[in-house]
Amino acid sequence: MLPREKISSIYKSYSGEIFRYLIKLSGDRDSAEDLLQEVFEKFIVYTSEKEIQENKYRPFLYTTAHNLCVNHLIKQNRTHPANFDEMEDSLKTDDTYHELMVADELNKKIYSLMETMDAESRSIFIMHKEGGLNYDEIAENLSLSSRTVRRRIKNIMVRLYDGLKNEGFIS
Amino acid sequence: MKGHAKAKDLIGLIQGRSNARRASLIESHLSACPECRAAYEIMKKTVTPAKGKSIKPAGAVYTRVMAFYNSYATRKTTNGTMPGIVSTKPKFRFSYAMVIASGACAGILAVFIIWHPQYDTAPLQASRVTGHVSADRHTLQKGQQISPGVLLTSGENSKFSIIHGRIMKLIAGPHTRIAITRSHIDRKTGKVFFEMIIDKGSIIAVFDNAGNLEYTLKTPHGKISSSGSKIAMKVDPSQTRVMVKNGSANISATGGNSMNTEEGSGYSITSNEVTTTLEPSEDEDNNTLYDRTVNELIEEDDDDGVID
Repeated sequence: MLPREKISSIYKSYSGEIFRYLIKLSGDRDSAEDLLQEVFEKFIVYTSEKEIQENKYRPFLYTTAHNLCVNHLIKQNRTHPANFDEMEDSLKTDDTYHELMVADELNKKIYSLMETMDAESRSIFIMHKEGGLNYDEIAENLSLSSRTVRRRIKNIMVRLYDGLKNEGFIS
Repeated sequence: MKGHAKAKDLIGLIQGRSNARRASLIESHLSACPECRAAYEIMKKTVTPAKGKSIKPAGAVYTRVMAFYNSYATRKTTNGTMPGIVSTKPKFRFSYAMVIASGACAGILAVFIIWHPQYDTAPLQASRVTGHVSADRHTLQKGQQISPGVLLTSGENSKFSIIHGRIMKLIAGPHTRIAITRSHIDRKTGKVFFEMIIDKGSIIAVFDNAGNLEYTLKTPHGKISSSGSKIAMKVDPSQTRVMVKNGSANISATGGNSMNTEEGSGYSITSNEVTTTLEPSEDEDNNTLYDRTVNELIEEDDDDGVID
């Protein structure tokens, strides 16, 4: 079992980016915090049973976050707010979140368009967009081929292109 | 490059999928076309992190995670999995294991005494193979016996026939995939059962309608069950088309209705519904489907088959 200080240090290193990924995918701060806690609890349990190399900490955390969040969205059969203006209104008390989610109109529209896409593809795209993970890293995390990851990201980009064109972002 | 860059060009460039020549062509177009350049910049932004303050989870999450660590570490210690601590796990009870093992042996013995296999395998045979047809990982040979569980796949310009005596013959065309899932004879009644999954391609089949046979053909969209009929079937990704030449069958869609067929009628099965493609009186197209399939599949068919 990893020492307490080690867990604390890993949390401090990765909780920010995993939380950022979870909040973008779940669209809900409370759920993202609960899921983040669950991710680290699973990490604690897993590392108490098996030894994993330090360079595998981040992939493990992303994989766990992906699985938990996608399952959460499926279980909840979640209907996200149809437009981000509603989400913006519902989050006015949370300035930080508000700033992140609606930092600019383009990103607001991108996330709004992504709401209609399936949770798994969205998760892959957010890992790439927000986490900066390349295709190979995502493929390794999710046990997919790089080609599949690239194709799924391409499919989302094609849909975003059409959506952004319809909304006048692209002429 | 003629006209504006297409979405796939821009995305290909961002993903690094375009070949060098194509990429240079698109890049030179982007430098000359402000509209496409703007679209390219927008698309690039779709895969760059959203701006805004870097947010962090509430401090309470950290507190809860560390509290979990403390409690989990304590539990691990109590359970004796930490080094130097004696385990308090329940011990293996040999007597319980003996009781369970004796029960299992008695059960197996009882099954052997009481049970007699009710079914025998009804052997299928490849009566004709043209081109390349595989049976699982091997090449299907003419005369080869086919047991349930085998996946038959025909390649381009290939076809094959399988028969069971003179009561069943199925001819499959190119790019057809069939999994034989059931092929057996009831020992008591002598009735023969066939079940196959056809997930793509075309077949024409004759199942004897003397009443001693039942078959089910499953496709991705539904299934066809009958106790004897002559049918032609084409399975493509969106639908299964069936034409029942002789006899009758029950056709059902996976997520929808079912209907009993009429001789000479054509049916279309999608995942949601079964529909009659044309009424029997107007079914020139259905017969065309059947005749065309027959012509495609049994032309120069000189094996022991019974299809006419």
